[in-house]
Amino acid sequence: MEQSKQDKTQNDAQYWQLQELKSIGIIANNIVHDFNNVIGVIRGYADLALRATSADDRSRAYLTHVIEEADTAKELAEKLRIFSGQEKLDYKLIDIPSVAEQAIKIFRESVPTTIEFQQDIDTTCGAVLGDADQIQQAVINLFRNAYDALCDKGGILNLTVNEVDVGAEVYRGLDEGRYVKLTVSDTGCGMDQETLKRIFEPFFTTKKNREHAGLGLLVVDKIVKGHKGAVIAESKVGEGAKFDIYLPLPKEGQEEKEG
Amino acid sequence: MAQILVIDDNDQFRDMMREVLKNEGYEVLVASDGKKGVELYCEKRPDLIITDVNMPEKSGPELIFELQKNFSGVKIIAISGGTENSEEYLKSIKVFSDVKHIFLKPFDMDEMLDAVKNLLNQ
Repeated sequence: MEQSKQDKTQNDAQYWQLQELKSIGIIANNIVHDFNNVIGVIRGYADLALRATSADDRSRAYLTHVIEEADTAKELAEKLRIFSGQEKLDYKLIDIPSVAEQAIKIFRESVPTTIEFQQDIDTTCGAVLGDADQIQQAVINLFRNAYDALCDKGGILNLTVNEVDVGAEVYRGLDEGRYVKLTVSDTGCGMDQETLKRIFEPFFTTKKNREHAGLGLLVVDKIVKGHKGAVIAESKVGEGAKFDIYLPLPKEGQEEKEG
Repeated sequence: MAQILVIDDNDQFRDMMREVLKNEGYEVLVASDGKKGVELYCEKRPDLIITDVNMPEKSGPELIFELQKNFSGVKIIAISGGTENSEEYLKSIKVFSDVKHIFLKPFDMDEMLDAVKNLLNQ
């Protein structure tokens, strides 16, 4: 019995480590994308300058070096992308209720029974265009955030999935239309408004231990925005927290374009 | 001289592309996102579009899908920040199957300008 408890503790630690690495990988991927833009600008202007110089101008050699180093930087960025372990996105129509149920199943096994799971998932929700692994990662990150709020005293972690109509007043980042709404809420200690404003910042964490890199909610935000959706957080001290993810349902004809 | 529309949400990259293409004698229009790109295309009907893939408002794939659906013979070059979207992966997506040229940033400008010339001559 003692051995299996040790095994479970080790498995849990490995599981959390893997989630943390995945979050870091997604952030690294975003940095590589921005880095490639910057290198592209440097290379482009160096090329432009090269075209403006005469054949005997000695600055041609300098500009050629700039271009060569830009190409080296591109190779380094590619290595970073591979090292980050990010596979290419697999965009297709995905069933969010199934993704959510799978996320609960994966997560549930690694948390103590002092945390009660509740779920209300509408299995008739329409399919969303996206990457199932990324959506699952976002959901698990929200679960983890809720778990951190509950782990000291226990409580309820709730997951709801349904379809909603969104008007412009819900959130400025969203177009009006039909969405799949996924809500993760907890009955934990809640957050004050100052903390709430900062939770999507990179490396921001209220956790005392250093195991948390403070990237989990940033990754959720990036994944959801990458799917043309939005994540909205609400919380009050002593009243738990709620995160709503809105994912747009494809418009007519749009589902064919991604092959 | 031909008119080219450059669509990219990165201000510096967009400005750089405008300078490079103007230097080659092209007339250049620019847009900072896919939605503005479609509006500008409908208004001006440029001869060729160079569009980024990952953009707010309307992404490159959405823009390409919409233009290919509503206008025949649209000439498009796609450019990408080249992370998860490798050229091979992009080509495997249906909406890119008719896009003749896909470049990953940072790209060789000679190759880009050759692609522009070839596409305009078709």
